[in-house]
Amino acid sequence: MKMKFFFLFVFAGVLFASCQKEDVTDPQNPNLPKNMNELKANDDFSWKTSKDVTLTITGSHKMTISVKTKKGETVFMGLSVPGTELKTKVSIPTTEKELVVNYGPFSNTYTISSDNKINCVFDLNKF
Amino acid sequence: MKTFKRILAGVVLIVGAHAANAQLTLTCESGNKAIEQAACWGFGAVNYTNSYSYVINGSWSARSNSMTNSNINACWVKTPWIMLGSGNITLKTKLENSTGTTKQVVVAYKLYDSNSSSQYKEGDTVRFYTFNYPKNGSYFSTSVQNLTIPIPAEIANSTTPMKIQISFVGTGGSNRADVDNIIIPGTYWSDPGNNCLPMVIIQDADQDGVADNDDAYPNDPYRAYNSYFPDRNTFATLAFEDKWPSKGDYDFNDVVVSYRIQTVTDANNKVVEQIYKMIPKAAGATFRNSFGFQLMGVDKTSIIEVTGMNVQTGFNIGETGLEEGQSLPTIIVFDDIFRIFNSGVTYVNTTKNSTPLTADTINVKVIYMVNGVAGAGGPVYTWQLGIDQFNPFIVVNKPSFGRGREVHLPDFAPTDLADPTLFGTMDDNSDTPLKNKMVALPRYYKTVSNHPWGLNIIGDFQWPLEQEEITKGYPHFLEWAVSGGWDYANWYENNSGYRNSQFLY
Repeated sequence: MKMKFFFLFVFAGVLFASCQKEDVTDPQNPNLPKNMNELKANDDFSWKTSKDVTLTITGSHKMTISVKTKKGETVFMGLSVPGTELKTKVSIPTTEKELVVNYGPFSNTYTISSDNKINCVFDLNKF
Repeated sequence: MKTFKRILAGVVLIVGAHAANAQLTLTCESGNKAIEQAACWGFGAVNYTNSYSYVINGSWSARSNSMTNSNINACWVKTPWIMLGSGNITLKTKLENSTGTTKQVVVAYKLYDSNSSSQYKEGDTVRFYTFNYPKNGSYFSTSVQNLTIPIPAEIANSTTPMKIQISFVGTGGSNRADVDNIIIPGTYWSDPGNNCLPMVIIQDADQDGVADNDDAYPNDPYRAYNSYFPDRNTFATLAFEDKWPSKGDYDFNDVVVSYRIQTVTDANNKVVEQIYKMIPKAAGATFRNSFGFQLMGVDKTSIIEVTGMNVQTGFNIGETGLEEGQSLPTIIVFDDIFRIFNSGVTYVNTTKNSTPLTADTINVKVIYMVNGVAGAGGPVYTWQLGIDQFNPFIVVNKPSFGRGREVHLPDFAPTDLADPTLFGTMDDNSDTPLKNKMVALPRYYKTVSNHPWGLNIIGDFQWPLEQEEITKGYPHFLEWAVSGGWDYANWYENNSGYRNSQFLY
């Protein structure tokens, strides 16, 4: 009889422990907080899902500029004029690593620098 | 007057055509003639080669087909439209072997002809130079020939766009010409975006310098382009907790507003106006909350007028539409979210069984220029208007708490009308110059654990149900926060495994 109670107790304990574990802990990342109360974010975490990228664009000819994400979403339109630097700022998801800059029909892909800047030079006179 | 403007514009363009030392070069070093073709160069039976035997200079040269035809339209290289300068055209060329009867380089020009029935608008071909490859007896030399070709006086510095065609002709034998380093004095004058036609004939109805094809406002000289945040077809979402300075329940549904920003610029890239399209989505609260935003990169005197807000009472709005008493331009979008929803009850669109309510879209227009004239503070450019200069906030339950209880996104400063006594109280761990003038790095709207009271999500956001913590609805939210934003930076997207809809509205 005592043995029966012992096994019942152990079984109940295992069952209880299993239920708790499934509820709250990510088995692949056991150190992850379970909710906001357990979360301690870094002081410098900005909670931003977007970032500003500054572009400076110069070109040899007057040409319409469009800036697109890799998904093809246009985030800026403007006019490049010879002798004048076009400076703009686009706001894009933090996940974006590159931007596509179209200079008239010409297109270049630029990697966004660690300080979120891109410098573009288009010179149709030089090939 | 319009005709005069058109002529004047043409003159200005032509004067600008003969810039000192301007020249076109073709070195073939791109290794891909399609790149040059996209820039309006033409090639007839001429290809690029990087074969060591044929390259004249660098890594690539151009190579003709076999020169067994006397017709100059058999093997050729043709420039884009140019405004030809003066002096000499130069190029390097050589034959690949010594066979053949005659082998020549012929240079010609084609003036722009608006009456031509051809889509290319090229006039007659006029030959002005012929070079005979040198022979030693019956055999051609295969040495590199440096050609210097004088530009005839009748076309030097012409104000008519033209193309230069360099042809490789001959009879007898199977021999090809290689060519490299073509340099032509003049200024590029093609518009690759307009079938490579000359730039001066681009259609521009409003004469603002932006071709009609590119101009979002082809008949308005004061507007040219539209840019959008996040993009033309997407809305971002602002989600606030309203219990500040106490922590809330982290359901981020007390005030939810979708928004898209349209920025209109002119041909000088000056910002003419911005249209903030705001759509209140949810009000999971009992407080009568207000919503507004501040533009931190703009002087308020640069704003001529703001229109479109839905504010009836309680705020001191000036004649320009900006809130009075603010050093930075501050716009109150709506004063009472329950009134906007026309709701007689609290907790709008945050419980499963409630009747969904739809709020009217609010289009706030911020006007920076009128008829080409900027505000007193000077023109505004797009680099002043990044999302980091956009400072949205709610004013919590103004009828009870007054104007001062603002809630902003983390690390965004309060406005001048915020109540400084609230900072650092309850769960707020802000360190602001309002209370501590010695603070080196201000800190705003964060708890001691750096939790926020607001989120700005660059995309569609399905907000949590009432009192359901955001971490339940978005399983990767905590991983994103713990990693400092590096992991699951797209936690809000509607990807497989990214949302737990039973906790979301």
